[in-house]
Amino acid sequence: MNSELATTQENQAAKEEKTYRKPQYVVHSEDNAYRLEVHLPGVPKDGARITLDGNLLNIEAAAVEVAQEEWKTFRRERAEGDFRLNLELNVDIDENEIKAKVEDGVLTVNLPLAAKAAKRTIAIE
Amino acid sequence: MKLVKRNTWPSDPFFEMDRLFNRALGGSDLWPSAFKTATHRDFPLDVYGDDDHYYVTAELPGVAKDAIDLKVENSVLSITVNVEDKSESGSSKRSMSRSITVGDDIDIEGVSAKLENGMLQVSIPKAEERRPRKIAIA
Repeated sequence: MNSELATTQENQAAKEEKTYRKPQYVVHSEDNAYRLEVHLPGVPKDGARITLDGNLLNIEAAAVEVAQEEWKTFRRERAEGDFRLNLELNVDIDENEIKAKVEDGVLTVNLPLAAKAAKRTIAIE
Repeated sequence: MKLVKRNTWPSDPFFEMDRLFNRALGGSDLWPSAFKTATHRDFPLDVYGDDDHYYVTAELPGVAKDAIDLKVENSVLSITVNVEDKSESGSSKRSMSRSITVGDDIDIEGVSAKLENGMLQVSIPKAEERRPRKIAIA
């Protein structure tokens, strides 16, 4: 009986857990910076939230529902759930200089390398 | 001969025609399972409908309005997108396309579309005679 109870509770926990969809993203390497492009179709300009915790970059955005309640669904290919992307940074980023914007459903994050990780030309004596 | 049992088709008014259409063009839509995963598609789209309209929603993040070519021809709505991928090694052009059969019961003149935050929404009005009508009992 105890195990039965446990499974019920587990099921409830699973139901309450939110599902997220992982957005597509591209990382471009630039001089002393990385440019990250994340596809967030439907997300308005102020709809994305970016947090940097240590070397973990977290991007979240609420999905925008276009379909109205009373519409019948004939076909559904688009993934459901809010957007969430977790990326681990393996280089030092200048946290204060991170710039981001959302345009046409694409989030662009500019991640400048920290001074000590930046590319340096070494003069030969 | 090998018999394969198929699942029931999804309740999609465009499904059967699209299947034939895509198969004729070499698509691999023979199996319903192929239908459920959109991975082999260029971009995902949803189709909804109410009494008066069909609504097609496509995810096109980062695509400019003038890069989208939308047309209705022979009862087929096609969405073609020309995108340019820019990278350090230069740029490459590619085009993505999706077609869905909308049937002849639509009002072609009334089709409208808008692009907002990387999401294309096409609204297709049903022809007047196809709309549900409430009949009063005398």
